[in-house]
Amino acid sequence: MEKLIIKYLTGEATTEEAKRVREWALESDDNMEIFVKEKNLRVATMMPDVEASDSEADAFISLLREHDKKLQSNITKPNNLRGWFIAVASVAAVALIILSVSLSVFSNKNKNLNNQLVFIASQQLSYHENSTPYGVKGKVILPDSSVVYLNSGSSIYYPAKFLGENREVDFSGEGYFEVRENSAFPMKISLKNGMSVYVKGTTFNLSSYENDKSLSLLLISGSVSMLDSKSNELVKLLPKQKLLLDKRTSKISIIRPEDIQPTVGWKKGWLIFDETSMPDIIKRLERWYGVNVVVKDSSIMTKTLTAKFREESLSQVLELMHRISLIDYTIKDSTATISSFFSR
Amino acid sequence: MSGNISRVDFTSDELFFRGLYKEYYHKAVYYANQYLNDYEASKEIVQEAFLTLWERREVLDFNHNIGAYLIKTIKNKCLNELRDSIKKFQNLDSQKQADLILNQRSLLDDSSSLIENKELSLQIKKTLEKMPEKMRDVFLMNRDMELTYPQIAANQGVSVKTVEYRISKALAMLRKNLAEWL
Repeated sequence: MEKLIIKYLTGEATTEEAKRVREWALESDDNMEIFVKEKNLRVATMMPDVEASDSEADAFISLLREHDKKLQSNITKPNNLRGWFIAVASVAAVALIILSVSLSVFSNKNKNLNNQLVFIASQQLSYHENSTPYGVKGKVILPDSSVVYLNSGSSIYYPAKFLGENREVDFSGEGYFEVRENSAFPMKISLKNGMSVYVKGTTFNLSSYENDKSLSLLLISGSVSMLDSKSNELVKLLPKQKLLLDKRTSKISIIRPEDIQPTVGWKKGWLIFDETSMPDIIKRLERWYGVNVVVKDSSIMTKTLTAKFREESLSQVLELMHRISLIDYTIKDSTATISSFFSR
Repeated sequence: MSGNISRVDFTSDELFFRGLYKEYYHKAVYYANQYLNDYEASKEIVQEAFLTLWERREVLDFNHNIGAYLIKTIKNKCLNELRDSIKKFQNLDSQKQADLILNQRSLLDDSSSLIENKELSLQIKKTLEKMPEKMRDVFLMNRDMELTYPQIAANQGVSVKTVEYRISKALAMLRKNLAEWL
């Protein structure tokens, strides 16, 4: 019987065997005692020895704060004129606080060590917008504790609380989304070009910079549907597939890249060019380093580059491009000027 | 203030609960789920238990074993939930109901507090140390990383059968070394 109980507890017992274990345990108190001890020892043995992540813990803290606010608003229900006045005054105070919060986001004072901004969804605002300037990456925790990593020059707009049929957010730029599973309540991500992304619980990388010629979505896990509001076309992706949209022709292609690092490496600090064309390289350098890049010879715009950088400075990147005879360059203040290697 | 919190903005109570949550959250959800057989309900109950503790933080003694208090709160909430679901499955699914009754009886027994027993966890650690490395790796991937057998097989470059074999060996070894607690 002992062997059967263990099979039952590990979930390996057949329907018949499980039935036998249940009947045997319910037969007598002695049997039940044996079963109970076996079960409880197993629970203790298999207890996972892992900690919750920092982002989970941060989401928990914002939950506590939201909880406190709810309790407080229940206590201070205004029931007379004086009460109303206090309520109005506290709304005004909240408005002041919000203003200062929003300002601090944009003044970069809350940069942490890794040059990352950490945003946590405010519970007070009806809507919230978080942006990363060029040269800075960030991380946003949404009200449902979904996490979005923002690459430089990205922006996300979302309500303090998700209500209605969808979890709706507006997005531009590049982000790595870890969307919390909720099959009854999909997340809808609206993009500036009229497309929307629908997800239930997935991880994916979305690149939709307004000044890029194409838009891309790489699905890591789960499932994603994209809706084009103009053509009303719905595209579904499978994990490891990458959708590319040519914005000019509206042509959609789906590829399966061998390596996902060129797409998602930015999240870990990699700047990866994979046969990237010069116009794209320039845009990426401007976003990554928060600089202007001026091109003196249009002839270099036809060149491509395959290279991988991590924690290199802009001058180191340009120096490498110079050494492989791609370009000449000068850097002054926050402007890099590049010209053809052969124009000297 | 919660527009954007950095670690320096945490109050000391928040810091304390943050630590408590990090340490206990996954353990607590696992624990509740072992008795409720319902992952979503387990997550909810654990969340509620943390909030209950948070509301009572003024009267709780942080120096006292607060983890034990948390587990006790979760246990009580699970017992309430079990009572209701056992009623619900009556006449519906007698096997499912029997599972829940077995879980209820297990949770009511003192041995359901074994998870807080320091000597037992020490004994588990010692047994893990004694295991051959490959056996321990595979076991911990299953237990702590919640990887499935095929995922572990792919990671270790061995067959699923080998993974199954190593985990069953690890479990047998643990059970043998922990037999005194039965």
